[in-house]
Amino acid sequence: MRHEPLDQLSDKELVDLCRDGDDAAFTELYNRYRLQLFSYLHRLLSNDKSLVDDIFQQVWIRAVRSWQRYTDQQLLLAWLCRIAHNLVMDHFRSKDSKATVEVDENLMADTFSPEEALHQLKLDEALQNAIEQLPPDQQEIVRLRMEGLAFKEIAEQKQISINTALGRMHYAVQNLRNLLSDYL
Amino acid sequence: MKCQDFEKEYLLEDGNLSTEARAHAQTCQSCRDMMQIMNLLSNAARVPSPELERRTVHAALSCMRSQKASRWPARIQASLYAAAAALILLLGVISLQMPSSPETQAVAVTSEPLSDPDALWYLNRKETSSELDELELELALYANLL
Repeated sequence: MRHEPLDQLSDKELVDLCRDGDDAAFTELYNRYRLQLFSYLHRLLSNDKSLVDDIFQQVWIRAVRSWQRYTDQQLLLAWLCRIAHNLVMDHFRSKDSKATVEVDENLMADTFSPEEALHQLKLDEALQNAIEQLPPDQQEIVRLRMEGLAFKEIAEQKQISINTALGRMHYAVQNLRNLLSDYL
Repeated sequence: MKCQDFEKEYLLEDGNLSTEARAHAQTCQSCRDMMQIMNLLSNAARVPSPELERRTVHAALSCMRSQKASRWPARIQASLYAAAAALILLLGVISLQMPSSPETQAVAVTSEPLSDPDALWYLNRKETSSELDELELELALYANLL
């Protein structure tokens, strides 16, 4: 019987609950690492969105089947990224193409060590905190840009000129650079 | 190319830079920093679609449940083995505590060392060598009869 809220449990404790089939524990772990894992897969497979989606799903299924192999010495994000990396490698190895060797070499070079995974995690958190500290008009432009809107669309939506939108983005980038100076 | 022009081109063209802009980026640290921040924002912006999230969580939870279900027969089997082992142990303890059968008792008596005074009754009665010789003969005959 657990008494603590799930968001206060460590990764290891949540994995133990997952081993016992606790759905809520899995959902908590999924929410903790889904964005970092998705971002990592985009780094590996920047040109293939459907493959990113496919492997993203496979990683979580593989993780669920392999909880027994996870030890608390491993950073969970690094463990998930390792599974992702192996699945991507398997995918390209199964394909008989000349590009395979080149892609494999890129993937080998892009190995995500636990230290890198931890750095990425901290950077993502710092970025979200930094965005929240921006003045509201800059924050608005940044968030719309992050949603994938072009500056022309942002200008239309906010009923401002493109130059105003670009100007706000310029100051937002300067502020973010200062706020993230410890991480960059 | 000035930094202001580079930034405008970079932001409006979604990173598709002209040769001139690329050359500028190679020599300007400030513009490279700006590109790094924009890359961070675009990486952070990548989120799984709601449909992908739904499919992923559903598939993973189904897998987790089927794994949990498949572990039950193994658990039952292990419990049965444990129960059988306990039963065998219990039977062993009970059989040790039960009285021995007559055959076992006979073996036990004959194999006992001659420390029991009752077992030496004949030595008390037969004291002369002739009497002992007779006793020896009787025992030999008795042994042959057996």
